[in-house]
Amino acid sequence: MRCLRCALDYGPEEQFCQRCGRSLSRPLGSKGSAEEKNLSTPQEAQFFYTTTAPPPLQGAEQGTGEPVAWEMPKPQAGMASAPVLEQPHMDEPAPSDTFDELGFPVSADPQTIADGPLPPPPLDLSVHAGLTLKRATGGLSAAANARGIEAGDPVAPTEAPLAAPPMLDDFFGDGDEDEGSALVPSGFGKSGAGSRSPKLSRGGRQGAQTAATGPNRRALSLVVIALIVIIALGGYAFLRQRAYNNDLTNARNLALGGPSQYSAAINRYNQAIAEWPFNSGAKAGLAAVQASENSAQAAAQAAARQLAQTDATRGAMYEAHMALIQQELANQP
Amino acid sequence: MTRRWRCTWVGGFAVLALVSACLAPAWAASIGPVRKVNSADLRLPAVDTPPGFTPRPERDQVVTTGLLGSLFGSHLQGTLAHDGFRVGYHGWLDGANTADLPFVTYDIYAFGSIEGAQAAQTTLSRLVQGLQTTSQDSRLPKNTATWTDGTETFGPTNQPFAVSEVVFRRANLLVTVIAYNEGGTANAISEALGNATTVAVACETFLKSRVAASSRPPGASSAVLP
Repeated sequence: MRCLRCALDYGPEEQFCQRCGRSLSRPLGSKGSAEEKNLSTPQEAQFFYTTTAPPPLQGAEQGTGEPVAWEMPKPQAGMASAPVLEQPHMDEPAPSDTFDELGFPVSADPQTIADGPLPPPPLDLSVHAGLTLKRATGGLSAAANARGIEAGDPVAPTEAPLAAPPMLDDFFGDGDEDEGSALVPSGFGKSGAGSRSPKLSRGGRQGAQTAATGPNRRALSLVVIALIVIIALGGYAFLRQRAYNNDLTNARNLALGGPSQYSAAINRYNQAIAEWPFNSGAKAGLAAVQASENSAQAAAQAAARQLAQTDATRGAMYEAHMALIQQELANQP
Repeated sequence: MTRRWRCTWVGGFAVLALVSACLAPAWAASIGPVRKVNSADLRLPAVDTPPGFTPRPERDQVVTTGLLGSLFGSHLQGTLAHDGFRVGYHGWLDGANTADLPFVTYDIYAFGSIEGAQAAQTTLSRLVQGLQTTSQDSRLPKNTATWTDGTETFGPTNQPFAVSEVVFRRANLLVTVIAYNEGGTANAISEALGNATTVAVACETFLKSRVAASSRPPGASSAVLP
């Protein structure tokens, strides 16, 4: 299935375009789904269209100039609501030889129009047969030749509805099953001078589609990779931050333990600082503990110096007293 | 009537003399010399250390005859050896952490006999400087002698310090307690005297229990020290 707007292909089961939401169209020339039977009806086949104007019909140009017409196939049961087109009889002359630009007879009797259904206008392939323009130029010419019909003669109704051929793989009858459907301009198939437009051909569209979906896939891959990286980094950061909090808590508890725990607290603070970049709390705690440790060390050193000085003073008094006793002993006879 | 009174007094004295003669050996046994003495036995235990003083074991040392010779010379060494010196212990107690830096040393010497300890007490008392005081704590023995001196100096600037020395004897153990205080004022001397008395009382308490436990039973040999 294909979205004619987005030029994207989908699977045969897809009904709507995932991009624009429009209903999908089954490309011409594709085989096979259950809808083929329904699409083979003339009422639906007549809705196939082309976006390009058909080239002039060679047979018509080379012939008498009479329009080539064919009869639309009979509607099937259940298709009553579809417009019923009468089959023109080959032995009866056409109601009118002139038609307006839409293919309706200009000189049609108003009463006839009012009494019965509007007869199907003879299809001027130069105007309406865009769908079958290649068919008219190729396949139709072959059929006409086989039946002895000159180009430009009215086309007799055939048993097989003309709507079926558009569903064939080789829609244009040039042996190219891969030929594009409606977007391929007539006369630009393989048989035509090799001047296929690369932008409108299937290969071109596939390339364009690939070019359209490739960046999307790459972007999706990049997004997935980015998400994975972000999740990994987030987990890593979470673990580091949790370790930082644990070390910070332990360091604070150690710092509250007194001067004997200051060294361990400093180690914890340094470990916490190394674990997390946003470590202002740990740095502040480290500075506080270092200041406390320095003051405690200074106090301890001062106390040690004072104790040493006290010991020296006491020792000096003791030595002086002993020296006095020894001097007294020396003075005794 | 008068003769009767005289006979009564004479009889009373005779009874007292007889009772005293009977009780004297037992009393003498209770204060007898310590027979077995080790240097560790002369160390003032922590439980007997008076409050406010801190032992300084690193400054303690066992006093031997050789150490006596290095401290007091050979003459005094010979004298004490003649008196029966066996072993001694030199202890150091730091006082309160005040500006006058009080501290106390105690020396407990063990002699072979009570007489030897008495002779050594006499010898060492001659070496003490200062003034002997008459007041002493009632918890100390009667043979206790106390001196104070505030004229001693130390250091290159000759800073004065006060010294108070208490010497007493318990059985065959001679105790010398010396208290030091920086400063030569009366307050420093009084504080030194108080510290010396406090530590002396602690030593007396310790030695009193030690002597009572080691006193020989009545009738035992007079050998006292190993």
